[in-house]
Amino acid sequence: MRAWLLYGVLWLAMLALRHDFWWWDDRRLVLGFLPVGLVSQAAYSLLCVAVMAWLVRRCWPAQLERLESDE
Amino acid sequence: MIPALIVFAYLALVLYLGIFAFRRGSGTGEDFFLAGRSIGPFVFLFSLFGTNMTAFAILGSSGLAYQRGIGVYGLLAASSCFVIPFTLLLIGTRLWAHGRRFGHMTQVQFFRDRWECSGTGTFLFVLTATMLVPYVIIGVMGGGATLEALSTTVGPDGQLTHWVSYEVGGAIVALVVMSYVFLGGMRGTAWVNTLQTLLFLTFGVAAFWLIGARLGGYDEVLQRLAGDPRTAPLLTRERISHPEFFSYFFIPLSSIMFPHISIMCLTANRVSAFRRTIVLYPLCILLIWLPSVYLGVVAAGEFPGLGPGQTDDVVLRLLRTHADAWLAGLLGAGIMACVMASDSQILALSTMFTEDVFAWYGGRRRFGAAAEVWTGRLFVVLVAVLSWVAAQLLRDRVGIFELAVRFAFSGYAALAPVMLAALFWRRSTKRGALAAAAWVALAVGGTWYLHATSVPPAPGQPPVPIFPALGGLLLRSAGGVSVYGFLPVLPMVAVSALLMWGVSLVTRPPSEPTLRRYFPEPR
Repeated sequence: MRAWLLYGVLWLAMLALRHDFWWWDDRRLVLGFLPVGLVSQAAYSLLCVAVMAWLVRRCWPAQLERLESDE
Repeated sequence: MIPALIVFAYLALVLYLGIFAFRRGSGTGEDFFLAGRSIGPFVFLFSLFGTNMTAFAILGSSGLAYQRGIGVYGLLAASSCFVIPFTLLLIGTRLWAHGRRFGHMTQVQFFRDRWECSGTGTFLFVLTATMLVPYVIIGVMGGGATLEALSTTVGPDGQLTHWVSYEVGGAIVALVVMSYVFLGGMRGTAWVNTLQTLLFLTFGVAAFWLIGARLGGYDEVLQRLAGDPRTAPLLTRERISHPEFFSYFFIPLSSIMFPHISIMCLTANRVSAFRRTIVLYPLCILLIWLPSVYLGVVAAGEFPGLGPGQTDDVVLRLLRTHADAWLAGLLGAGIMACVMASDSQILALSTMFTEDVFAWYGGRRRFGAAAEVWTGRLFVVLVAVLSWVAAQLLRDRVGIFELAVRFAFSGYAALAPVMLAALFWRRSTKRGALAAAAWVALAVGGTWYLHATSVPPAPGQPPVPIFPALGGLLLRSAGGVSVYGFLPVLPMVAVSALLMWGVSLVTRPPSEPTLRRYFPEPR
């Protein structure tokens, strides 16, 4: 049950973070060639790498690996 | 002509991979359809990613970014960066485990066994297979069009010469795909998908830097775009509404429900193969989509004034104009590889037909296990030939297939609650699954009907109510039908989950022995 709560909270947090309305119509260019809205979404993608690395450590279905070794 | 020759060399290479995979095969059904469940972590990551990466990731995203700006990345790619690896962790690993324990090769085999049903499984087979067919046809269409574009030369008088026509290009693509899927089955398909992903990751990044260098740096181009009031909105998300952006978060739920992706999940040799795939998947998306979307926006400054139907080849135009012939050829081969992503879809249709129809309705019993592989192979040939014929007959109706693919995304996403219930909820029943699947079929058909029969507003105008008496419930914009401004995928997923839950509660669950097989832990 705690795992499902974690999944739910994580889902909502990532949904909210992706929706970065504060950059919505910002035309500034980062380093002169990258639109700030694109940089923020690219940063979100990198955050996803970190979140997935954490999830794989924290919520890995270890019972499936036991099933493998039972075979 | 050099790009076309390099593309032909690539096609010969993938054909060779198919032959090589054939020689490694053992001839059993599990070996042909699932590579004997032996795919290691490296090939698993790149083949799964390559399978998911269709022509749209490169050509379609650039074309859409040309029209709507940088927001296209957040719309489609950023949402996939979270949702796809999340579903691989939650659903993909469990599907793999059940497949390994009980020998399933398709989603429908799992549903039939889990819910002790036949008809519901057949309904799910028909629904998922029908939604997959437009993908295969559009893959052959894209192959023909891309080969024609790559082999086009401009004479001194400005006359265009197509060395390979759309018809011949489509036939070559269909023949090559058919051959390596026919021979190599899943092993050949996985190897080719790995090659295609590595090719595009390598040359895509190289092309991005080289095009930038030829343009004198991206700074100048972007400053020019920012200074022009017609193109400045492309550097923002002004052309995307908040409800639309929000809704797109739910579209990648479709990924794990695509038959070819879920079948691919069954091919891993160990569950640990998922670990690296889950972590690195968002990085692969970033490396492919970011340059594609960025180049689409750059193309808006380079080739202004293209209409919606003319923007899908803006990356090819940039390559023709700013990259030398060799690089254009290498990247063209990468693009070709993406277009040819229909390989895993053809194989998935063949696996589904063989296992869910032929074997289930007595074919295995009557003709033996060996007949399964040959049935699968014959089905591969049949699908490839019919796709080519459809691509020729309906060439001028490509929009219909593109539309079908869009609706299919929502349809598959709305089937995700069915899969979640099957995997995690003991009390779920076949009637609940049938109700949810019937809703999905109805909703996809209904959305299509509303799209086809309603009149879109003029470009630049706000959405109009389809039924004025219902107020803003159903709206029609130039892009399609929405529900209070949100994409239909949102209510489709919500109602599907409710039906799965509600109908399951009032119908009989599977027998206790079946439940104990799938939920061995004590409650």
